[in-house]
Amino acid sequence: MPHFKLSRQVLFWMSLFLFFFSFPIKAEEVVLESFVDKQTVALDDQLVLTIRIKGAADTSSPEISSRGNFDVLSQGFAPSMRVVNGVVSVSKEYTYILAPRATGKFQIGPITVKSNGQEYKTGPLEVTVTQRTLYQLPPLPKGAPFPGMPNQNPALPALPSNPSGQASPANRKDVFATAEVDNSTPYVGQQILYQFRVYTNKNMANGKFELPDFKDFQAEEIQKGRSFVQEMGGGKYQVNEFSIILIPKIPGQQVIEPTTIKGDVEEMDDLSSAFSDPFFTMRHSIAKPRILKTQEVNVQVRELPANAPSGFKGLVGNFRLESGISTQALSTGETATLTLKLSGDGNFQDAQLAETFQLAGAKIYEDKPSVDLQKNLSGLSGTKSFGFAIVPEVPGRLKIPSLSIVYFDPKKETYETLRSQEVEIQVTPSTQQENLAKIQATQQGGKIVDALAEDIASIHRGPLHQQTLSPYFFKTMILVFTLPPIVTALTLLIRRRRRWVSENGDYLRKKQALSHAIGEIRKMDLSKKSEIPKNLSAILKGYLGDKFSKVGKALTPVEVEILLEQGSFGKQAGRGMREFLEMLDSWIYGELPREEGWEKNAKSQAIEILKEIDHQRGMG
Amino acid sequence: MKKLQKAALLLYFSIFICRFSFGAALDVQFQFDQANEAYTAQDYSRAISLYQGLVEKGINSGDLYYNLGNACFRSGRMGQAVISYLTALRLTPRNPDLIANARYVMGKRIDRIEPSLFSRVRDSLLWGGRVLNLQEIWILAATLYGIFFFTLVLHLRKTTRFRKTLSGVLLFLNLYFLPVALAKTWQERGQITGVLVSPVTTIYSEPTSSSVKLFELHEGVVVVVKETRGEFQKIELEDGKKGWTQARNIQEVGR
Repeated sequence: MPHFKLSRQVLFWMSLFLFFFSFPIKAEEVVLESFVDKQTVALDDQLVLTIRIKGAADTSSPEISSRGNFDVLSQGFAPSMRVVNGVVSVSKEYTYILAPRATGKFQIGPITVKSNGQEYKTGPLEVTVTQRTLYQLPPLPKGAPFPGMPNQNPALPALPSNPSGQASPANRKDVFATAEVDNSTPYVGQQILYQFRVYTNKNMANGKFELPDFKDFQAEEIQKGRSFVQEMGGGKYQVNEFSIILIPKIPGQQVIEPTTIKGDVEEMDDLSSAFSDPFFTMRHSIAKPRILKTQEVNVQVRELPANAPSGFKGLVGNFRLESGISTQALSTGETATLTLKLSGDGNFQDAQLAETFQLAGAKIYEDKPSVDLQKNLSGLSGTKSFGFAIVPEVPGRLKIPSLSIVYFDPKKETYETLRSQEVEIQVTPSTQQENLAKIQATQQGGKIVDALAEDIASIHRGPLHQQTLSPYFFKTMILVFTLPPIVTALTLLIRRRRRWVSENGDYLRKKQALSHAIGEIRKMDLSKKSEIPKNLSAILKGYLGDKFSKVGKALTPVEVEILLEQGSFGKQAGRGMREFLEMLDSWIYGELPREEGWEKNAKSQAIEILKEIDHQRGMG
Repeated sequence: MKKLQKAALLLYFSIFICRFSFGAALDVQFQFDQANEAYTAQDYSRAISLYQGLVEKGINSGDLYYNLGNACFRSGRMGQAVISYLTALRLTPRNPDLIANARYVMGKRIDRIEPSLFSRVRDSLLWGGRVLNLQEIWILAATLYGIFFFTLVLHLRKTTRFRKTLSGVLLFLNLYFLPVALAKTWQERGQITGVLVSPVTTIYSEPTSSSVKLFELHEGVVVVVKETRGEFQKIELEDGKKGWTQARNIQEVGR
């Protein structure tokens, strides 16, 4: 009967589909609600913000302003659909966990949601953040590696009853975090231990922590945390402890910001029962996200005492120095290795010798110091080894002086100087002279001078020269780099133009004939009347010469007429020109006219004839 | 007598004007000399404060930064010394004392960063940019550029073998010095070069101190700042390693 079963299933889903979608979905009004689970919250507590959007399924995620005062953890959203009296209504509920960052009165919101291009807002919610809950934590046992530090035994003694009658944490808190330093008044360079602990009496999963920015401290994290069980206020707490070594860099009041821990805490949830009897109540566990914060930690960093001996280079802690030499008898040119081993607790990574190691009669080569560093609950400890290769250059007894390292002991509050042992080396002459790499005879009989030590060159005195670049320097450079291509391009253009002109002289002569001739006529000196006919005749013939690429001066009036007629200027133009030229010839070889202003008339007539001819040429 | 009075008055005004013109320069020189005296007397902190006072006044001099670098080194401020030497090298790149001191001080750093192949090739190609300062290299590039175009015009007017060879050589020089000048300008004005000034600096994989610690560096390491995000800066070392650290650990080399 599988067919029957399948058809029943299909029928069931179809009827369910029809059931929901057969109801009229009315366009509901969008309603936005927001509320918090409490109005007052302690600094180490958290509150739950719920945003409910009714009447719209397709909305943007809520935007919550003024969230800078809280750490926010989104819990996602839960959609729901209800059918009441045949009307389907949809809603969405967003949940956020908010952990306060400071005390005071704060506003959450306004909260904005967008749906179908419209924006919906709810008014801001006011929340008061009070001081942290005071915990009375059990005293930590003495005698730990760091003063005030718990020892490595994970099981701590039970919390004694609180004489003040204050509510113990167990009564009020199932999960909380604390932070402390083992020494709140360290010296600059003295290492301290910052520890934060997470106390839980419930299961916690997916824990992540965000460390504060250890400003003005050198921070060294101890990778391995530890966990143990501690009894407090009659309840048992699982304690997870993490430690960071801090080395203050500068003196003064320093505040270490809270460490934030985020994780999911397993909580029991009651399922409502049909009976009021607890026997019938069903319980199941759910993971609820939590944000925990430790308190701020104040550290007053003290300045190191002023009477530091010379050679002190900032080393703080408790140290010892061992020294050794590889051999005490060797030949010149051979190498003995001096080793200094500084070990102890403190900021020894930066340890340096108080003075530069120099030795007359020997060459010193300094190795790069090696550091063996350990980080644990005792702080930074380890060894720093300094190595020196000593190459004697002169036979005899070579005394290696004691070398010193100066440090500040914060327990004794005094500066201490560690010295290596003085050592004497017996240096014999080398049997193989060629092995004396450092003292070599030259051809001149002298020897190469070896440097005893290295140092920086001295300062420069004398006049101080200002070397600031002018603000116009780069602008000038842009101009300098733009000009040469422009000048080059212009030069090339001019050259091309000239070449073209030289290759196309006749064309230009023809083109410029009229303007040239008119210009010449206008420039004519009218005071020399006898010259006027001759000059006019020459200009007109010159014009025709330019137009027809001929020698104009050699043309007779009759040749001019023929030329103009052949050049499709028309008979009238040819005849006019011939007559005018003949008139000019009669004035040249005969008598000049007697009437007033003949010269002006002749000039304007010549211009008109030229324009007429040029116009007809253009028409043609 | 009147002539004498006039001359005296003229002299007085000349001195008055000169005092205005050169007064400031004399003050600067006086402070520089004082700083040098403090250095000689091994009062390095006073010398540093006087040299830095001059820097804050806007004095930009290779000698000033060189002396400041010396004073910082003497007082154990390795990072500051490296910054001062790098700034001085940008102004007086051929100063032999400066080159020797910078090499010596950088050799004293705890960390040794091996430059990547790319860095080595780039530095070899930009050799010209190391021996000339920014002003010098631009003036040289501009001069070569101008001469090249002049030769080009001559070459186009009348081609001779000499002019052709000269144009070719100048073109090659231009193709070298112009990109070098641009690269140097980018290095000094465009990108941010910094030096680590904290004794120990932790480099993280992300711009947060809770991320993975990639490695630790010590004072004096030269880095290129690639990006700033909040209090963190992304740095790149010469060997190509990258990471994030707090901006307070880095001090910028003067631009």
